[in-house]
Amino acid sequence: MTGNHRQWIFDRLAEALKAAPPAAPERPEPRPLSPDPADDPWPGLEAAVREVAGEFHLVKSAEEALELAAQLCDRHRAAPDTAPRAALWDCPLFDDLGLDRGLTERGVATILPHLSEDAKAATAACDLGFTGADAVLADSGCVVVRARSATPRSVSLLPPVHVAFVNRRDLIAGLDSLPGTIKAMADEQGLLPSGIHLITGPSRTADIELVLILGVHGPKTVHVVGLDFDPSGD
Amino acid sequence: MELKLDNFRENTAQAVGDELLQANLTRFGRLSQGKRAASMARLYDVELARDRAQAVKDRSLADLPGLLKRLESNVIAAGGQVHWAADDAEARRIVLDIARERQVRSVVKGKSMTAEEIGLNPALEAAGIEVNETDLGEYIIQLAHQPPSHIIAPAIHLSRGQVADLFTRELGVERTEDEEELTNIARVQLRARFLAADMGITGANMAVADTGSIVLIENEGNIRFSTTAPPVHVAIMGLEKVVADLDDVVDILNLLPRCGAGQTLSAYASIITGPRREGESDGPGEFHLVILDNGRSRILADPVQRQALRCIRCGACMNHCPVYLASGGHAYGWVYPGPIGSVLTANYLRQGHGLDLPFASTLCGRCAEVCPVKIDLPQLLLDLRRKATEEPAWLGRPGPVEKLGTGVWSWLNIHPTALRAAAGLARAGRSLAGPLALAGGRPPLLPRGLARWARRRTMPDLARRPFSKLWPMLKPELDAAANRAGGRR
Repeated sequence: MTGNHRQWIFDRLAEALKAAPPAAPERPEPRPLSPDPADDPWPGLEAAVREVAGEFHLVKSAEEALELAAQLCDRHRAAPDTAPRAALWDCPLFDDLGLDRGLTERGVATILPHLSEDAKAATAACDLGFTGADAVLADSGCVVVRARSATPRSVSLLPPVHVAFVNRRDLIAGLDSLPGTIKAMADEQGLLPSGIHLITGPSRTADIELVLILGVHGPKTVHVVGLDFDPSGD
Repeated sequence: MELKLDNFRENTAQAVGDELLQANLTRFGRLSQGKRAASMARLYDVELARDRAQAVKDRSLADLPGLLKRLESNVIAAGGQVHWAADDAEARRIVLDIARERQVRSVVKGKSMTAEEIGLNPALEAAGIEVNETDLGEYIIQLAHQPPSHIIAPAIHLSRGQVADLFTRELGVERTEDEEELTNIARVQLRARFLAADMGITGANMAVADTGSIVLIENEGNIRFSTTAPPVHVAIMGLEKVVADLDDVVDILNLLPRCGAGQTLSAYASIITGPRREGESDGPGEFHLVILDNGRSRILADPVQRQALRCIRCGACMNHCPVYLASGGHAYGWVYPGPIGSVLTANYLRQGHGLDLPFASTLCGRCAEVCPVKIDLPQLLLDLRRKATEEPAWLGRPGPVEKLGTGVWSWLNIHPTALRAAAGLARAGRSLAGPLALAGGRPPLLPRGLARWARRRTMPDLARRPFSKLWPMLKPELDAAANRAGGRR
């Protein structure tokens, strides 16, 4: 085949559909595929996160959140004689919590990767990456994060540990609610963020004899931290 | 290792004799079936979920030109570039041109069956470009110089011991059979390659017309890495992968990880829309989408076979197929194995290739039962069998011996006297030749064509006395029994 491939393909498709038009069924009645979340969604989320080999924590104040974050940094530091290194998103939630200052005060070496010269290399050298979830699916423990200039993709991918904070108001029931959540991320022109990532537990493989191994190219450990208070203080 | 197309019988004979392969496949079938069943059982309504997924694909197929045009303009609006390839050669040329123009020296690749289909790796390597497969299974088989044997678990034909030997031989590492250590070896080897690569190549599980996005589903993070670190991202998709909107994505995402790996959701599902935006510190600076036909528009024109284009490549049909689980993926001889592979191979390649595969099925129907988009695989296989024997366009003409055989057989069946005479002859022949050869289930002294045909078949034993001779004696007995039963009533 030479010449205009695009035109050739569209001609062939039109021909194929004209000769024998296929049936185009409507979407069958949209019934919920996942149950509505309970009044207290946290226990269900905790169970879901654990089921995918993640860890779940619930904190009731900014102070508790900072203490937990520092404990996690301490637990996952690469070597006992060096300060733990953490890559942080630069986002309103972390500003509200005072995460950067709080961790630094507690002896953690923090970086905001988007300000580094080589963001990827800097992030890859960290022990942990901290992100703020745009949404979390209550029935599956799936964390939804989006890439923006101050919230790079690498932070949830390159360090061996990923810690995702989630507000109670950002919990959604399950996949059925996802289209609305994602559409709300579009800008004025209707353009979605360059990268939206749905993360369900640690990176994993079963490519050798179907034996489950955690931590292949992404984090080996994923912590989901539920914020059972309003960090913005409104 | 080279795949041998149109050689299913010999390939299978070899596979069935390989004890280690048989053990690996048996274990795989048992585990994957159990995992899928458990995760499907947790769905609110399995049939509704399948109906919705099927409807997504059927709606998309009916509106392919419209959706593809919308996809194209939205990818461009997001800053990406769209390329169209009518066939595999054009798709290879497009990717090679992109690589050459940017002086790409090394590529990291996410697992993509479409890239396998167009033979991308050999083309890149011939151009002096280093290709790094980054999915663990793909990495293993790349080291072993083997093609994938399964569409989502490409190295499932190998045991951990075989992987251990391979890593020791190819990477010079100390031998270990521990899966976690083996995985870590691959992680370390590949991490540097990810960060140094000039280009990332992936497939696409879906493309969303309304948003200009592609959806990538995976577990290891290698596809995220391939779309985060390198400066250029090229995604290759078959044109049937387009869906209309995010609601459609959810209907597919609800089933693909369950049917593929028995997961409610895969570890990662990424919705990628164009290249990175101004000010972003990672993600590719360029995004290219290659949209491939390569036989798909021809399948769309076939009102029976077109439902094969619903396939979302979950692999459930092969995981449940007695033939796949006995023969392994390599026996099928091309990129796509199992029941859907038997349909796609013949349809994609045509020119008479792959026509032995539709016959390699027991038609047990399990593949259709587990298919998330309700492809009626047995129906498609039967249709291909018919095409292989009846339609000259498929070039699968029966041999002269077979033609003569079926001709004689159909004539005999409408001439009862002749049929009885022939059966009598066969019976006489059997009583003569029986002690010599029939003990082995094979008729003796056949001409070459017939002998080849008969080698694969066990001749049914002829009754010592035909039914037509027994009937006069049986009828009075039956009548008497019927009378007794009637008397009791």
